[in-house]
Amino acid sequence: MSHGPPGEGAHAEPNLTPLLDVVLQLLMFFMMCVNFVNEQVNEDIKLPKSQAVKPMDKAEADYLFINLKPFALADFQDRLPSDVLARVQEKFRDGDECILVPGKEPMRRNELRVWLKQQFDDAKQLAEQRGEKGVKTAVVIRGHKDAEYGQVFEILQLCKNVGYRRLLLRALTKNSPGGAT
Amino acid sequence: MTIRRKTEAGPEPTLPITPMLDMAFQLLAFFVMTYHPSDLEGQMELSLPSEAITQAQDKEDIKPDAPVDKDQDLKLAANITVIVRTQRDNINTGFISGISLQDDAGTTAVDTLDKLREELKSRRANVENKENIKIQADNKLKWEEVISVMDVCQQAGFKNISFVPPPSGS
Repeated sequence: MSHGPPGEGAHAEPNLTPLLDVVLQLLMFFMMCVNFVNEQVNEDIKLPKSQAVKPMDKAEADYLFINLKPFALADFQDRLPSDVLARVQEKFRDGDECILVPGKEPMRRNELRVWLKQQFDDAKQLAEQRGEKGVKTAVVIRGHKDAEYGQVFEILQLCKNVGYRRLLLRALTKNSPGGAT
Repeated sequence: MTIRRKTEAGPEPTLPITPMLDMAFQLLAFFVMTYHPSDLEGQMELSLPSEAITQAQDKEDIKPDAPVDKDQDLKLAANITVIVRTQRDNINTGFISGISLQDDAGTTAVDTLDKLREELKSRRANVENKENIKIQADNKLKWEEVISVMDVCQQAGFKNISFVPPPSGS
């Protein structure tokens, strides 16, 4: 550090380096937090809150995400290319059941069935090649809080009919006790 | 750090820490402000809808409200079904309008979720299956409300929750 050479009188300079170190550490911390939160999460889905949910198991990697929400055009307005948007607009009215799967256009239930079947068959083939028994993939259903019970039920049923054996529901953790009314 | 040559006088090459620190603070402020230590996402394992019902549903055309026959119903492991109703009057659609409990003895109406919790706790002592419970909600009931009913069931001690198809015309 630059302490003035002896004899030149008081050359007071604040020592900034450790401060910078700490700041960079903090910066790193917040950046990492932000990254974790954004992983695989569809922000449009407002999950219901629940006290019964358990923290996620990070060790498990084989997930299939199905997001369900009532359709709202505003969700897609600025995010999709115009041709896709036109197609989506034609297919859905506001409030319709809309199924969102990462990396795919919004789907209806019958499209989901086809897609799920395909995914399941692929997974099955892969599992057989590896000599594993059955498909281990867990289907994670992220239902918007305004979605209807009937819709969620149909999707659960669909997953089961296709052959998936592990179904998970996502919700936000609510820690205040006795909050259910 | 400063590297000083004692022999020559001249400008000291210093690393400009201050602007770097300024920028780091800016970034820090940004991340601190955008950081929401909000509710974390959690998940719950679901007990699958019972085999008996799924078999009936294998053909898509069969309506989910098809009555499950008695023999199959007996195979289901849960003794208690929570029935949740909603109204369809555009104002309260999707919210809980009535809760009732169904078991072998019959159906009892419950007023609120708190009452439901008490009732479930007291009934749990007497049933055979202390872990399993079924929820039957109306088609239009909001998922949020279903989750709150699930919460209550779990608080009462029922770990495995399965869903029953919504009744016809709901």
